[in-house]
Amino acid sequence: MGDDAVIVGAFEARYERHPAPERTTEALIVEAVLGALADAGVDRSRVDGLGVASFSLAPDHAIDMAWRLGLRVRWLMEDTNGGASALNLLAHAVRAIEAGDAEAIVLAAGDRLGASEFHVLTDSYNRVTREQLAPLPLNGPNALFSFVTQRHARAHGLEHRDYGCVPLAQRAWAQRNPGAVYRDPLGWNEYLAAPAVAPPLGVYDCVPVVSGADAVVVTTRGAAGGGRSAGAAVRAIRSLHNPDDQEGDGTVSGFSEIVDELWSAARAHPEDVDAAYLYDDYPVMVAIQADECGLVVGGDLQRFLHKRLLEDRWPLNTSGGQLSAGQAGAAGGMHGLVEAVTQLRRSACAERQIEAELVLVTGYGMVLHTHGACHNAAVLERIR
Amino acid sequence: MTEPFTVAACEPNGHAVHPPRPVCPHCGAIRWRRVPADGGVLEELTARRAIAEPRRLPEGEWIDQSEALLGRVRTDAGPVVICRVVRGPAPGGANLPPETAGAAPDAPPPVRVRLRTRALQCGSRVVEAVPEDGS
Repeated sequence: MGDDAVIVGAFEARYERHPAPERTTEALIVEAVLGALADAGVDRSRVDGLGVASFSLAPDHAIDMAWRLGLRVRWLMEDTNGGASALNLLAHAVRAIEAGDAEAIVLAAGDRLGASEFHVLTDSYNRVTREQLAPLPLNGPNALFSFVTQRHARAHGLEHRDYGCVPLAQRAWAQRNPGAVYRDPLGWNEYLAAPAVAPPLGVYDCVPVVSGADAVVVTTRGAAGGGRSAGAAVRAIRSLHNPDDQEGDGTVSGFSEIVDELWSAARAHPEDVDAAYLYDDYPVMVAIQADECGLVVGGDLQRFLHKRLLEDRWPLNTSGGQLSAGQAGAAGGMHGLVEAVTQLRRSACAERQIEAELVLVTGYGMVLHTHGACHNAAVLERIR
Repeated sequence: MTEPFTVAACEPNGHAVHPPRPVCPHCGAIRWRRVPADGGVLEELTARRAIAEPRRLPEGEWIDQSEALLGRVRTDAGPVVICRVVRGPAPGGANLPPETAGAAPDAPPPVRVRLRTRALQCGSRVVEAVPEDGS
């Protein structure tokens, strides 16, 4: 048997809306992998495991990336589950480390998404999309999450302005993140007057599509001593996929079914975490996850949004999240994990560094028909 | 060009699903028939904004990217369908939502609709919802 697993390095290859031609998906993933290894202080020759998530790597796969990176590996995995891919990869990597199947695993996710690649992705996301939704034409999931937002708003007595607390609060964090593509201050006037995308959703309720990549390094606690500084131990990870056969309406998600077990396995309570990294493809999904994961004290979601997030600046998605930093395809699932690890290792830039010891990270995604089907959540702890 | 919308229902128990799938999620049946689903309630409505350049579907057909109303309809048969909403003359019919984000769509759902399937030249089919008169 192996040793306890710990995340010892994290890196994000710079997100860009209009990347230079040479920043291909392969190049972005390579940049992220090498950056994460450098951050971890782990030599490439020590890597014996690789996990990859990408929508645009085809026709290549994880094994092609192993060869392109010059990695000789005994653990190899590819995950196709978009926003849930990072924590899915992490769950498997942790078990592999602990079982002794591998000792140093790099997990990477990235995509180059120009306008044409984005349309290929959104039109052919799955067979239901290609056959039922793309011909409408739907042009991506914005309309579907408009429906989820409208239903959630009616069920919880919320208005557009309530959901706006999420992008406004996250933008305040993004101002302290040089890697975010949206860094200008965002106020109520600009938010409420934003061009509509799929009403009630406006421009700032939808993620800016970017190209980029993220990576983390997972190794044994014993081997982690060679690293430069602290790491992130995984106290617990839980997943649930296709909980409702797409027969629900998306306003109640799979997180509601896994959180009790997650907190129990993590030997923690929601109020114990110092920060949360919730998958933020749309503000409504942040609200749903915060509620279902137990972060909304007293169950008053409106107060949580206005007071806790916007006024108190409680650390939620301290990179600015995908809503400000950008969504780089499958890397969107790893963006929050990389920021969480960066914060726990105290390697964020001084302006946004927080003193977190315990954090929650979630993954969500893969719209099968009307809403996301994949859910996972992890509790990470800072170790020295 | 159009025909009334139908959905799949499993042979043994009549569990209706949409989109179709090989195994009934309710009873595990693998045999299916089509049942009428041409009536329903428009529960949510939005508009997909216009995009200037024309674009091709994976099947090769050029599609109109001008502004379109999109809806989520709960069919009387049970399943939900995501569809185009055809602007109706009815007072309760679907009018364009306002230009800025946030404001609720003009036509407050729920609105009774008829559902039909339109075949595109490429073989793809889209479902259209037409608000019922007087709804």
